[in-house]
Amino acid sequence: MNENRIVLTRRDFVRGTVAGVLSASLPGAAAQQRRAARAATVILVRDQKVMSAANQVDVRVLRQMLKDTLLQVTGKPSERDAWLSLVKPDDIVGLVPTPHLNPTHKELVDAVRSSLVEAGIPSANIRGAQGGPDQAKACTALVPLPALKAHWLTGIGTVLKNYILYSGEPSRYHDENNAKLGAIWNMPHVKGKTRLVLVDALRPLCDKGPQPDPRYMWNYGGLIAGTDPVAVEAVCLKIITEKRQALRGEPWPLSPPPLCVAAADETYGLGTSRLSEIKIVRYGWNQDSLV
Amino acid sequence: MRSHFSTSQSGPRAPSEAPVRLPASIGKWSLKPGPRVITAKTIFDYMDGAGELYLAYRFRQLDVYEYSAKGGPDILVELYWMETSDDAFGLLSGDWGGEAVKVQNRGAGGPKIRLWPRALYGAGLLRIWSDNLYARVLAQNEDAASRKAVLGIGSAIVQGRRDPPPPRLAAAMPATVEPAFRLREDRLCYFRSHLVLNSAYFLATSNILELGPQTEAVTAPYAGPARAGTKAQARLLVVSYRHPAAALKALARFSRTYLPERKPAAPQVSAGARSVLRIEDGWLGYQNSGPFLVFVFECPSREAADAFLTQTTRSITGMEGSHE
Repeated sequence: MNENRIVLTRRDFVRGTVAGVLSASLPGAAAQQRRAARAATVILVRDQKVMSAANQVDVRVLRQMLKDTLLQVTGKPSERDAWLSLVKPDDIVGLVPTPHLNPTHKELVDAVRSSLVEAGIPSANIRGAQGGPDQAKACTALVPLPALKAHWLTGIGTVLKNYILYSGEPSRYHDENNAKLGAIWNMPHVKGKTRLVLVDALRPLCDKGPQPDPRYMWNYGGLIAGTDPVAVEAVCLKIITEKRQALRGEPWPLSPPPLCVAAADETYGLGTSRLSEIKIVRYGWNQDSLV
Repeated sequence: MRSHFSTSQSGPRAPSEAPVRLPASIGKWSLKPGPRVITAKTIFDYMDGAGELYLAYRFRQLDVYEYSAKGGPDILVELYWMETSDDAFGLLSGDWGGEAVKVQNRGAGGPKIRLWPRALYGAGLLRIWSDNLYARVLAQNEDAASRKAVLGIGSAIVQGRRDPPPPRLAAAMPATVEPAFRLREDRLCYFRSHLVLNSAYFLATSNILELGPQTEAVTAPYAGPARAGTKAQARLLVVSYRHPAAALKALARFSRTYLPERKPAAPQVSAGARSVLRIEDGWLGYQNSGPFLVFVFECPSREAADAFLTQTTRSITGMEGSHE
């Protein structure tokens, strides 16, 4: 291991110097001498009835939640108009779910596909796009559909990690190198293609991920969406953090800290990670929303 | 429980090790043909993103079984065969949460464990430390029947197996430190990898303590006396290296990386090095003793940091020979 590279320590977090160290330690990142103020909106739609006591998804309720989410994200009057403001009929639309270990609910992937078809996107133009770089190259539009979960190596493993296979070298972004995950979103075959980030928060995992541990899973019954991937991740992070504190009755910060979120903002300029710059629009069930 | 058994014999175990004999059926669940055998080479195909945890604990092999039942959730059985009992203990120590349950082990005696349970159950998941085996038995949806079945499978797993004591380094952590610090046994973590350290207590994005398969380490928080409405606490970390020279090399690297302001003063990393200093989050102390490094972080006072170093060093250097 190269000891000369810049290392973040616990002290950097205590001192609040993480952003500066990250920028200095990630060569090739979009240098942001002065970070301009940003603004983002994240939609949180929840329904208590979407998950049964046996953790089965009610597809009818989920479909309504998807519709509500799309209308809230786009401000359009119909699902069709909403999709057509995000993608064009001739786009090749790639759906990018979490493939395994607390995977995205298949019902959500199916619902998005059906909704796109009903909006006029030809079925042949909609494809599962989780996988290597060729999957992203084959698409003109991407809709990441990650499942919300904590990750024992990266703190959180949801939005930013969802494209890791697009790098072609996923091992380069593991462990402490997770701070570089944002770089993947700026790769030529990925950049600018993400039209909507839609997180499956139906039954999140707040610790020990990605391996499932039912002690840390709960029926949150939510979809979290937006067009700023960092803002969506920041809201996800807030929910996970609050749930952990609620479980233990004392602060229980994610460890290791999710470096990728701050780096995606401060270093790669993908969006805002600051909750003060994020407007959260809540829709539906509000109990224990944690955010 | 039907009297037919499926015997897990695929693992590369030592001749003296008892095989695991899973029941062919339990309650309404029937064992599917198996196991699926996962090796270090294939573990990322089985659990991408989670395999590092098991490799960090000297993983040999994983045997995966499934039970199915008509109208009921499947039960997943994962048998992680590790190099030593200490490695399996380490995996359980990643989380002491859950209900401590007694899984029957009629065939083996063994000393009583003073501090830590051997099996923990919660929300459908049973986790077991049984000699060099770490097991997870998981029913996705918990009910009374699945709980009974999961615990029954757990009893079958441990049947006839040894119950070695916990790692001596873990047992050597002082239960109390003067003046009034108490070990949080429920947060103690035994490990070998900096990745696991960072999941228990984030220190740095790089392996600045030069941890690895040949090192062993323990970290735990200590609850201290309440002051002005808040409870003081401290974090103790002890690392055992193969050789004193490795310990000194790691201490030098720690000092360069974690305490860079000390560079001009050429930090002391000679044998027996000891230092207590104040940094942003409290008092930090470290001490070298032979192959050991003792660190205490976030201490509320210099005196408390000194007490941690003195008591812990005395305790670990008094350890008896390895039981492994």
